[in-house]
Amino acid sequence: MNPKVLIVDDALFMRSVIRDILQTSGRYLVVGEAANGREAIEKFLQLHPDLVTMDIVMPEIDGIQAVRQILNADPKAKIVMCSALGQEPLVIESIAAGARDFIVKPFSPEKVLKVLDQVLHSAR
Amino acid sequence: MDTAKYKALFVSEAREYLREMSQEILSLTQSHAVAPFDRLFRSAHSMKGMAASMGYVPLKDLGHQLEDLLDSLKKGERTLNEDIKNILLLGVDLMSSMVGEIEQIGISTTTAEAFVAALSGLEPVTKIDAAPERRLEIIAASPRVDSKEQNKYFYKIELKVSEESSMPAARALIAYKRIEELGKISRSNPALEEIMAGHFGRDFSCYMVTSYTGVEIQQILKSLPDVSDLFITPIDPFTRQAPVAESDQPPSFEGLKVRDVRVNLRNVDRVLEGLGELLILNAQVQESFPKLPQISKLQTLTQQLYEQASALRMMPFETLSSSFPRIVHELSKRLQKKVRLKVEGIDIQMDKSILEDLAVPLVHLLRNSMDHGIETPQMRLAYGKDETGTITISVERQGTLLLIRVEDDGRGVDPRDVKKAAVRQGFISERAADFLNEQETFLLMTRPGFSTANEVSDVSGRGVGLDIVRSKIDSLGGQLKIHSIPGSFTRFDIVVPFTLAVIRVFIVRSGSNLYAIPFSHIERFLQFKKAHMHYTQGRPVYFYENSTMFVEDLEALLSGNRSPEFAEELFVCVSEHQNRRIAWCIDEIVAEKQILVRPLAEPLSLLGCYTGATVLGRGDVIAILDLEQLYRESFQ
Repeated sequence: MNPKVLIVDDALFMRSVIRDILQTSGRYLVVGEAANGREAIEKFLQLHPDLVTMDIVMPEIDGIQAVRQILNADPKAKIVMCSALGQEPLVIESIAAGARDFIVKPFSPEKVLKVLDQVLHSAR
Repeated sequence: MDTAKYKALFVSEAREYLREMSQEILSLTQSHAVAPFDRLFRSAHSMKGMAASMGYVPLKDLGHQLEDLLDSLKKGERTLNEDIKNILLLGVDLMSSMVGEIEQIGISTTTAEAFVAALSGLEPVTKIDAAPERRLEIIAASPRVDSKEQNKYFYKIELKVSEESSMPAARALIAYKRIEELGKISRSNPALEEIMAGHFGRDFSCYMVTSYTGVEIQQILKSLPDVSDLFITPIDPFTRQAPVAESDQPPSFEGLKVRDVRVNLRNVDRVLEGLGELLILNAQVQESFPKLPQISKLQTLTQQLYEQASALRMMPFETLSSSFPRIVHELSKRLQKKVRLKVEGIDIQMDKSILEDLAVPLVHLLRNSMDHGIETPQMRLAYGKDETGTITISVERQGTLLLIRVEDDGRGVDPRDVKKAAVRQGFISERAADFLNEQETFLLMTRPGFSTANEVSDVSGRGVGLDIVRSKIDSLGGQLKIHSIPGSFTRFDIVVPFTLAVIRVFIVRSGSNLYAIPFSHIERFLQFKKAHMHYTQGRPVYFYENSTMFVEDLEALLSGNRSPEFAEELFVCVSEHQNRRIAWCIDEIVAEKQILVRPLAEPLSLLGCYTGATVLGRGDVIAILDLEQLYRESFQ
């Protein structure tokens, strides 16, 4: 049974890119998508994914806040931040908040899969 | 693959794994923690892999069987109970015999049959659907609870974030957090605040204390994306040098490695010898050019180098004590007694050969305590004691000495029984027995032959092997003391010098000769007039502070001339042997120094009265005296 992933990004295009990478690999099952932090938290609680990919800059509740809220609900949650270049301080803040790793746009499929694989197999 | 070449390495690695597995199994409890089974599984898996690559089929099969059993324990399909624990131990034992056979004859004739048979006695497994979290939880990352009996390892971790990473500081932070999950970090470079502020180049290093081994840490860290060049270096916590601040030069990396090497002890000893010569040469130079300022720096550096090289020979007490729980487990089954073993000081480092020499005496004392110390549960309850007895083995370092204690809360020893047995066996007359103090009485048990085949008593049972214990301790230059309260406890206190190679001695002159006497052998120095001596049974004695010491002329004894003439004023150094005090006459103390012990080659080594020799700064060769041996020659 493939691990379940929730994709969070305010841009439909970005969500599609990630979804395609995951579905092409055949090793991950995308169970849901969210367009902002609030939706991310709601869907997380509904779907119990094994992994979350989280954009940082989003309307309503941003990625870092969403990380905090999700970890509050489930301290073992595994969240990977999706960031653009030049946003290192935000990534650092996300990791300090409890995100496990990060990927940088533009995404290379091998890199994305490598990071997700490693996060899934690291324990909490 | 050329198996012959790798056989020795295979055997030594296999033994390490088996030792660890044994220990791990013995400390398994009924809790539902997955981590111990994970570790055991990985070890069994490694054994299986090594055996397969060497072509040792039975060992590989057994590894596979153990793997399966451990897997079902990991998944919760089986729960641990006493039977399963014993089966695991059986598995490890069988593997051990197989490795032994492989070492001796190159193949193993033992098969995994016995293990499979034992397994068949278990109930069939109920497969449950492993929850997804369980499947993914391959390595539990929670830091272990701080407990005295847990292993603690110290490491320096160095890593480089690869050029490809577009956010090196974020990557470093992730690495930091992963490492923190495995243990406690002290002193990272850059500091955490710096990393979080984004001030990070490519290089990260930190020190940590953890219960994970270097290999486990490496496996966890090397899978991190964008980390190249991972170095994990074990650190000796007792190094006198605290880790100094890193230089600004980034170390040159060569790739992913765990810096843990197996070294032939002979090579270490050669390095030590060379450094020892360097030390001596330094001392000689210092005497010729005492005012040269670089000389003392040279001395300090050489001394440090020497100590660091000595540390290579050091191993933690745990290396020896890890086999104790097994012995206790087996014996308590066989003797139907309940015993709890406490080991303290497992991290204390000591020279490898001291560790080896202590093995026999300590195991003897342990068996002895279990056999003749700890009572049966029924008896203990009848005495109002806890039905589980406790044996405590503790090691402590006090300066240049090691204190090792073996204590049980068993039936103790009655000095009166010891005296009676000694008198009965003709070791001592009844009258002489009356004069012995408690210490001296207990030490009677260490006389060879004290426990004879036709003596069937608790006391003689207690004496079994104590003569061997005693002589091993003596040959290490140590001392044994025994304390006991009947019905309550028995305690053996062993004191041995911390290192064999460099010891502190007094250089004394007797006649025209200089001798070195180890610091630990001398109780005190005294001066008195010949006229104040008495004669007992033809031997000169001197009475001081409530004890009688036999006076011996060192020079006369060493030269073989047994009728010495004493000077008017006598200067003696006093040593204690089996609670007898001997006052050795010397002319003067020349110096007190730390010296390097050079072993004597044959035929000189056959002279029992010397434990070695040393070379002083000026090039003088000085013999190191073995006062215990001299005492024996004089009195027995």
